[in-house]
Amino acid sequence: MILAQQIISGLATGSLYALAALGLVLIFKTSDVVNFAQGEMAMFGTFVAFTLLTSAGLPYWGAFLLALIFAALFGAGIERIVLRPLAKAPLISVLIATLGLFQIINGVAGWIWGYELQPFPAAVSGAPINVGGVVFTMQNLLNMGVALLVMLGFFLLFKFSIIGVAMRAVAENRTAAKLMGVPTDRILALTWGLGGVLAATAGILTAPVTNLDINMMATLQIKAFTAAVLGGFTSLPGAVIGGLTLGVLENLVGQWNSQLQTPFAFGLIVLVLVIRPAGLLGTIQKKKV
Amino acid sequence: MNRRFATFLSLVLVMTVLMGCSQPETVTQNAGTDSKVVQGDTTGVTDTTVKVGGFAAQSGKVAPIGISVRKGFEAFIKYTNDNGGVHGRKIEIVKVIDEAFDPAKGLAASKELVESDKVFALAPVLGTPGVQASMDYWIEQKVPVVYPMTGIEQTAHPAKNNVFAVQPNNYDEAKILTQYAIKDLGKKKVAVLWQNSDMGKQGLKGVQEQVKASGGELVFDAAHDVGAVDFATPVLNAKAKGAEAVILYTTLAESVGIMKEMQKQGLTAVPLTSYVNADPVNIPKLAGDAAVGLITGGWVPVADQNNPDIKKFNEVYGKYIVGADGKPEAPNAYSTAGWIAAELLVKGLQDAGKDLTREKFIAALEALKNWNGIMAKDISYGPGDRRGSTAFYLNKVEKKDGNIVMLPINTQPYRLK
Repeated sequence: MILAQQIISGLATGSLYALAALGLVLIFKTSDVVNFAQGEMAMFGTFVAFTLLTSAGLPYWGAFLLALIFAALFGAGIERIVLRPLAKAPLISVLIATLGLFQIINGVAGWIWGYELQPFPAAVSGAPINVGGVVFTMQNLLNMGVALLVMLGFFLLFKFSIIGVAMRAVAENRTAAKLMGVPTDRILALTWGLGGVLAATAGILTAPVTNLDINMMATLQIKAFTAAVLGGFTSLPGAVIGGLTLGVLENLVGQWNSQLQTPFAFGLIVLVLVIRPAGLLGTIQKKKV
Repeated sequence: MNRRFATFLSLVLVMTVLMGCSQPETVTQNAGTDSKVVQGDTTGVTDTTVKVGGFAAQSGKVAPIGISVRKGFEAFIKYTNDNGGVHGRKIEIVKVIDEAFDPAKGLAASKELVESDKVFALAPVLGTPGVQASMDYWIEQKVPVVYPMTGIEQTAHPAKNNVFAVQPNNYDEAKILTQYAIKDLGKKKVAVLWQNSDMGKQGLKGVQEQVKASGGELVFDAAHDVGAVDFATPVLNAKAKGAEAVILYTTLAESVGIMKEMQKQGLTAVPLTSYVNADPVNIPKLAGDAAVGLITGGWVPVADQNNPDIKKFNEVYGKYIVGADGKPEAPNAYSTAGWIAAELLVKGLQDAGKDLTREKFIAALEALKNWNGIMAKDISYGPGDRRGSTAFYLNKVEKKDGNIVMLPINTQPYRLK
């Protein structure tokens, strides 16, 4: 019975990793940028929702929606102000820029909202559900549902919509896409806007578990990176599978040795990558000459 | 791009090497300062002044704590100086260095204060990283350190001649919590969920030793990382092993997570936790119902606003610490700690007498027995004993009139039997 519960709880935690990983993968897939500030964007969006809830007294879903709109503008704004001028800069400069954003967003959030932990309401409440001795909450179900829905939505977007095709074109070859008449700047701004929305969604769904503070995403974001790498970093379903695997793995290892929980889980991931360098669902990108 | 990356890497390497070189240099330059006058060490002392200094984060995420500590310390020192100082000497706070909660900067701060500023004693010193990094250096330099603010047991175990702890350490407190669970609550089957850090490990050690002494049994223990969110595995195992008391040796966010998981999984064992989490505002705010029944440690009795000492503290603090709006600031728990460090420092300077030396200062503090200042309470030292406060005031979280509140259990000090 403990095993069943560990798997369910691991899946619940894993969905949080997956949610945080999806935004990373989306941005990487389209712009080749590993966005180190993704977790901080999540935290900032969550604080905006928190302010709307507590100071402005908005209902939950109203605050959620407004926070997502803010996050979209925030993400697109980052692309316009920081990333676009760096378009021709070496990739390492762009990475350093996102690391800089990490520090800036974290510092500014601390300055605005302080350093105390704040409780954040769950999207859905109610007593835990007990199915044959295995306990989970509505919030657990919601998190997993949202992760799967987002994954499916973006999968369809990439596969079938014209915007998705444009995104893939930009990812494939920015110059060629531009020559073909794809508005690459707008597509990149849109990607970052969507990345912002995903970040805020992840933050708002995570905050009831971690409580809200400026460092709420610190640990989770590292796990999200791992989930993304495990899944292949370019694959949205990979990010979800990576996140869920990591969540369950941690619990199973924890049963055997609690101190080695994190090292062992990561050890297994290294092993997977050694055997399959592209990750579970990733494809190895052949460098174009 | 590869070449650029290589350049970047080599730059980093060069910087690292340079920084690595600069430290030993400072040490050799100042190595000669240790030669002392025969009759005693009077570093930092003149006929009219005595120099002290310390470190506490003034920037970064620990800044709210560090700033409060500094203000509390300054308030009592200014008050003392305005009342004539100690034996005709004014206490000069050379500086409180912002070490940003960084061990390397903490050690550098200790060296700067001891070797460049030549302070008589170190206070206030805040934070586990800086204290841990500086401890060997303090011992070597024999500089008196008044109230290192951290819960690690190294401040008191083994006792260091020149380091005077005040707040109880993890190890001693874990023993108290275990004794209370077994002897006073009759919960003999104890589990420990501990943070994978010094704090957690020292707490675990205290519980392991005390269960034997109190005639209980440690049925389960498990570690978790800082920032962990999934506590299903340890909670389920504690439940399966029939734990009657669960000691949480971890920080606030994780304690809240564990209590919520206990409630979710229907584990009805009594949770007990460190004074670190004895937060009457945040525990009910963050954990809600799940916190009901929680026993927390504590080493100062809950503030009674009518108590004359508390009144005096608020009044003096407000006089010297004025906010940006020009109004007196209200002290908090951290400024209280800073204040206590200053009180203990002044007490030592007074008792050491007119002819101040570090040796006399250390002897004066060592002689304290159940000493009470304004906010410093029940502080004792002795030969081989540098613990400071060994009295505990436990609290319990209860539901009262629909509100979740943290109430004191004992008004008289609770001690290890």
